[in-house]
Amino acid sequence: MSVILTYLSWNNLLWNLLGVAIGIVFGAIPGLTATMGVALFLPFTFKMEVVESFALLLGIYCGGTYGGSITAVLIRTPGSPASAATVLDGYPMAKRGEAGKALTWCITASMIGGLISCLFLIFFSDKIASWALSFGPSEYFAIGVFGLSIVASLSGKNLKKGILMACLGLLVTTIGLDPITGTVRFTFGNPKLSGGISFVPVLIGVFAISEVLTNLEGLHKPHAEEERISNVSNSRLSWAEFKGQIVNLLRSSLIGTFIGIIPATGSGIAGWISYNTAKNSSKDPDSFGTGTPAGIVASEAANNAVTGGALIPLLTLGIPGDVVTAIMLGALMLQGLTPGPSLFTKNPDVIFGIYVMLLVANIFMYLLGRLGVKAFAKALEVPMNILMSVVFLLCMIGSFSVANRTLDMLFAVIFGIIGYLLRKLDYPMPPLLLGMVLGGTIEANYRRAMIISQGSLSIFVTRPITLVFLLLAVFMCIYPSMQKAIQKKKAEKNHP
Amino acid sequence: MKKKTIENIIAAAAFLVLGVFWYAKSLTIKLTSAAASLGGTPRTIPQIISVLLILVSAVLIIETVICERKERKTAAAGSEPAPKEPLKRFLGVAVVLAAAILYCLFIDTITYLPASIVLMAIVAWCFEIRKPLPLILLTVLTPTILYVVFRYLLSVPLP
Repeated sequence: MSVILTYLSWNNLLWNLLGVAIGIVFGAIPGLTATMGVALFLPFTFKMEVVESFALLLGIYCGGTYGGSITAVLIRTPGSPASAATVLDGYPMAKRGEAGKALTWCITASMIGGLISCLFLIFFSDKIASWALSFGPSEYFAIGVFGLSIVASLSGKNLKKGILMACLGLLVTTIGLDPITGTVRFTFGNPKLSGGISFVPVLIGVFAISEVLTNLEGLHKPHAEEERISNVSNSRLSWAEFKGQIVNLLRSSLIGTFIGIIPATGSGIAGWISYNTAKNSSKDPDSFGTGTPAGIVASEAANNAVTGGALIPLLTLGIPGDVVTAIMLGALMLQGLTPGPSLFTKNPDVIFGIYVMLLVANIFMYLLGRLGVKAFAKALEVPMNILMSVVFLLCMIGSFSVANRTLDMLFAVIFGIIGYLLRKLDYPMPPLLLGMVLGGTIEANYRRAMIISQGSLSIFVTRPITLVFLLLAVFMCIYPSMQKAIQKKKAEKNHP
Repeated sequence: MKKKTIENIIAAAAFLVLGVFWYAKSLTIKLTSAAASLGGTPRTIPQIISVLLILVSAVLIIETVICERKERKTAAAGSEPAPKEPLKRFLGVAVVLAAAILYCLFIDTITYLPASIVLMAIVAWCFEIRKPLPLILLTVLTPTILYVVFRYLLSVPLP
């Protein structure tokens, strides 16, 4: 207990609370996302202690994942992909005068999902990390390649475009000093590039500046009329109503947690899978889509349960579970920490701090969600053009603050242009981020493994854990094509 | 050829050129005797990535051209061309980008607050915030608040 209290300092609690509030706003407003929020506020964390910085970032993560449900319920537009399934029952429930109750279901399910996944994180991470302590360079290389193979899932329909973006991210990591010999590479005669290109300006450019530019371009496009519901009173849930959803809550939380553990799946997928599972398991499946609490609970419990689940591979193996945890991986590295099993032995204080802050973030999220729902509903009325203008300046200053260099601002703008142009052609951005985050690990561990094996590639097939992760990587790459082929065959069978 | 097809080919070609350039540049990386053996060299990974980039972008170009030819064969005769997008939409983007690049180049000379006020004014104007009071408040307050937050709360020095 005294250990937990150590982390509950005023600083940590305030940053966590602020993070949750920022996250809810970012999650609620369509066009802003938890990913963007974490990316924008990452530069704020450089001067903070590690636990403080994660208090802020985890707060944004949890709040952002929940925040999308507010607009899903009130204006039939999910604020983030995580809450897409919530629209199906959240908005109909609001339309019949139960908006307050719908929002209460959202926040309650989100909190319980988040807390259950946090418990999984606390009780299982240790065991996975202990097992991973025996890993050597070949295992870390294989894990890095496996992490990169999730590009296949992140790329959607555009696998080749995803591979190109991942390669671009990997190439960026080769700028600067070689990790083994210290040889200068690809600096084009500019000594300022010998430290490489920081991951943060690229992240801000690709996820935030490109979004601002896309919004600016779309200023004159006609938008569909929003049917906005503003009355959010009458939000109480009875014990009988809650009792009826306990099984749904537990099942959806477990689905979300396990999906979070699998890299590259994320809260959007978790919401849909859980919704479909709840519908198929329901005694009254026809009620789904008409405003049943079960639909809201299934979606929201699962999407917030992803938060704890996604941290498990991040902290134990150094593989991000989704895009936001990929950013957090970068945050850990910027703080001089190496995510993976060694974090549990060398920096157990950081690990415990993350556990506590995630627990607290879910509690703060519930309190803010219950008490501040009217204020958050009001926040939706801030015009998008004002928000985007502020976000743009924040992007510039955020990129500068990484290393106090104007060069980083220029990189953010350059990658903003790249992101803006390539998004138009359906090039996915997360693989670029993944390439940047994992590139250094992959190269350094590959070279170390080859040195240990005296130049023989057999080290990658004779060590069982290495081989398993490499085979998993191959499977992840071919799985989308296999799935397509199976679906095509099914479609041909049904419609000969 | 459809505009989107041309754009896709240009993008893939850009990646192809990047791959070729990076591979060529990797050949100029100095090798020390210690590096030139067992674990690969500082050139190894960049070259592998460059080759992958070249191969995948070449495949993408070929695929795009083949798809375009198939679509042309199956497209109905007399199908209407896609409507032209007004250039006005891109003008704002171009102005903001130009302002951002100038901001990066001159912020050290002009210092943060004046440069940011000018940048905010341009960005807000491009986002069609035209009423004087909101424009002035946004343009002056936002950089000032950020200055206070970064300089005094987070101890991050600004130019």
